[in-house]
Amino acid sequence: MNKEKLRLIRIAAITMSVMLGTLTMCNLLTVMTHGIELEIPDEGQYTWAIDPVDMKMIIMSEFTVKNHGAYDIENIDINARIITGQGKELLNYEEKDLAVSSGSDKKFDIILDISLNDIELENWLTLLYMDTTLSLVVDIDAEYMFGLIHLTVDETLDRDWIAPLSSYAPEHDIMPWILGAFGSYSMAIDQQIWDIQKTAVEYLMEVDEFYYASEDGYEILVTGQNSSGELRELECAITIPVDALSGNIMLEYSMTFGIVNDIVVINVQEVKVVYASN
Amino acid sequence: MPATDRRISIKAIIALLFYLIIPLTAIFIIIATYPELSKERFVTMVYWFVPLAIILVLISQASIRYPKGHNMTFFLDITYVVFTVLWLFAFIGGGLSITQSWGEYEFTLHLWKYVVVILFVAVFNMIYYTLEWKTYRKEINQAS
Repeated sequence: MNKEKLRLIRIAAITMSVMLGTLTMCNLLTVMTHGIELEIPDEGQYTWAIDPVDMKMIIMSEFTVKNHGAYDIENIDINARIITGQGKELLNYEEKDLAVSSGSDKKFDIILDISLNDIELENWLTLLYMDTTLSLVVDIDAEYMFGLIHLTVDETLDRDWIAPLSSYAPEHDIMPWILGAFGSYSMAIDQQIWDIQKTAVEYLMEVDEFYYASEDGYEILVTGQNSSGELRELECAITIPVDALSGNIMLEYSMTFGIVNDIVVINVQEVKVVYASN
Repeated sequence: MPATDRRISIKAIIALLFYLIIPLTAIFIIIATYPELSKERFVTMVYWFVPLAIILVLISQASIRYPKGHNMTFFLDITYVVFTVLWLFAFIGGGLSITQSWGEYEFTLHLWKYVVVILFVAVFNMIYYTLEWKTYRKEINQAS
């Protein structure tokens, strides 16, 4: 090989080395020194709204990415799930291929569109009756510096959920029974719950109608229908005031239940969720 | 002027600046500017890359004692590349990922593609030094 060719290779090698060194120092140090920041909204920064026509609950918020690094952040994929303490997934939110240019702050609107009709009764009951911990599991993937650096965020944010109906139970003798009966559909049953549940089922097998209304607007109406052997049909309507939504959510469903071979059998049918504004 | 007559090589001065003085200055500025950042990571970086940078400066200086094409020059050049790769590894934390905080949340930088680029540049440099050694070795053999 002649020296001229060798010189060209030398120039290429030096150029690559200098570029690599510069990238290492300028960009990695930028990333490591808060050059890139993420602001996720806290609990008070969510806005709720209801679309009564389409029966949708809309949760709106925003998060901000500050990219003060030298390169664009690209291919940002976000997956957020809300999971109850019992491991049930209430919500799954996904966004793909977002980007934040270098030297800019960008706000992303989060619009969670939840169809009230699509929320499983089991999940409604869990939220209504059981204090639990809701886990927001956030996975974010992004690429930085021409894709040479892959960024990942895997965070689990736990928030306590106080079930709106659980606090009303002590105010009425029959409430723990009713709650136990309804809640048994979704609860993991331990001996104590089983005792409450059995008592409640035995009670509901006898009564034709049960009505409970709290001062705060909670209402429970249970109407007993025909009995068929060891099973009985019930019509249930639960009204839950939701201050954040300026209205009430009414949960209507029918169920057959009874005690067969000393085991509580509950079959939920015809679930309907209705929203009514104040 | 023969290479062996120089007291300090330009390569050694560049290595001193690029691998030691500039990064150290940057780290001290960062620590002073962002007192909330954990110093532990930067101290670990300094702990590893400063000795490596000194070795790089010494290798650069030692290489001017031998002409191009000499086996010792070739050995020192390849050693220089290897230590440069080690220096870069020390600078990025010694692994394929770095965990940092993003606001109040943790995030991880996965650097394996970046490391592939580092290794590619290192191999390219090694190829150059091998070709240089072969080319100048021929000249030395012909002269002798």
